[in-house]
Amino acid sequence: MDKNLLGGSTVLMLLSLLSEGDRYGYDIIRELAARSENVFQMREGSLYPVLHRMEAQGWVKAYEKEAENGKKRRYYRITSSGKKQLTAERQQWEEFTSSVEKVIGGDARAFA
Amino acid sequence: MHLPEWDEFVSLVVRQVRFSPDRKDIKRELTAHLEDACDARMAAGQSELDASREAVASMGNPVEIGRELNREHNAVIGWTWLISKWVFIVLILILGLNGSLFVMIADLFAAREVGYEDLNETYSVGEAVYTIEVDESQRLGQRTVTLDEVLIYSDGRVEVRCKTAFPALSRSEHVCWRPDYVRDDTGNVIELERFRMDSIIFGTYYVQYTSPMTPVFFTDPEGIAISDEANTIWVGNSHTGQELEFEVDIGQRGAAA
Repeated sequence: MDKNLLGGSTVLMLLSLLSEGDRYGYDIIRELAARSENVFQMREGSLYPVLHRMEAQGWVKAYEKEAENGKKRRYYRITSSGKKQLTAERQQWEEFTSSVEKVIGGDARAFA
Repeated sequence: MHLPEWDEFVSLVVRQVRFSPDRKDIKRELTAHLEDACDARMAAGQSELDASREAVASMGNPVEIGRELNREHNAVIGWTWLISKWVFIVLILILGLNGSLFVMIADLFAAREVGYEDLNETYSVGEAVYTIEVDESQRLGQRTVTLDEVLIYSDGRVEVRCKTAFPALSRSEHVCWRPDYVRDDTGNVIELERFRMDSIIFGTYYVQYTSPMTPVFFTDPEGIAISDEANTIWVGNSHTGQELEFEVDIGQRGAAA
């Protein structure tokens, strides 16, 4: 499922965004695009299966609230279990990227 | 501008979701997204018609999306849940089971767990300076006490968030365990000055009945009360002499967001 989206890092990025504050669907899409300078522009509908799965896993919780445009939106909030998952995924990500660096870095490691 | 294409798209998506009670919410969420997407494009200068068309075009393949959503909205679990809920309610009405058992079974289906953040809306506590996420459980007789987190505020207040769980259908009275002090392994000992329990929350698991969340406040006017270098935190009740020990991993500390 995730392979259509942003690779294995989708959940990591979503959890990280939500750890900074609650957001609703389109808000998340907009922020992802803005922060990644439009590198991450997913097919917008694919966000929702991921969010609903995160909710089923207990990592986020949804609630209705009035958005800044005055309309009611479904906001997502990270839970404490989600924060733990975020820590775990961040760690995995760092291990992954540093391993890749080690492989491709070669002799450049001496200056790391 | 709400186009018929939007309705077609959303209908195609929800048609893939076999658990029909969830369809209404999904429709609402997707339509809301289309509205926001359309507004954003119009704000960027597009015409209303183009914005509306592109909003739906950018969503992706409705059947694929619907299929993936269907995986998350499991029909088997959903229907089993709904059906057993009604079977229980009918049974209770017929058999006239006593009040507290009814409440307990009703809670089993009110599986909406409210978090501490919701309590914050009732009594605002402001921003914590740092947080120690513990999330460990200890047994205390029949009860299981979970220390979720310890937060330290800039004015020196320490907030201990813990909850008590009981095995379902247990005969013992469902009394929340109330600690009245917390200490760490760097020598800080903080006494409870005020205790607060909110009973607006019910969360239940299949095998355990969970008490209302119990945020516990105490104040240390001298300054930061629980060290952010503590490796062990003890939470205890001085009257009963019960004390629980929780290990704190380095990874669980964090400056507040």
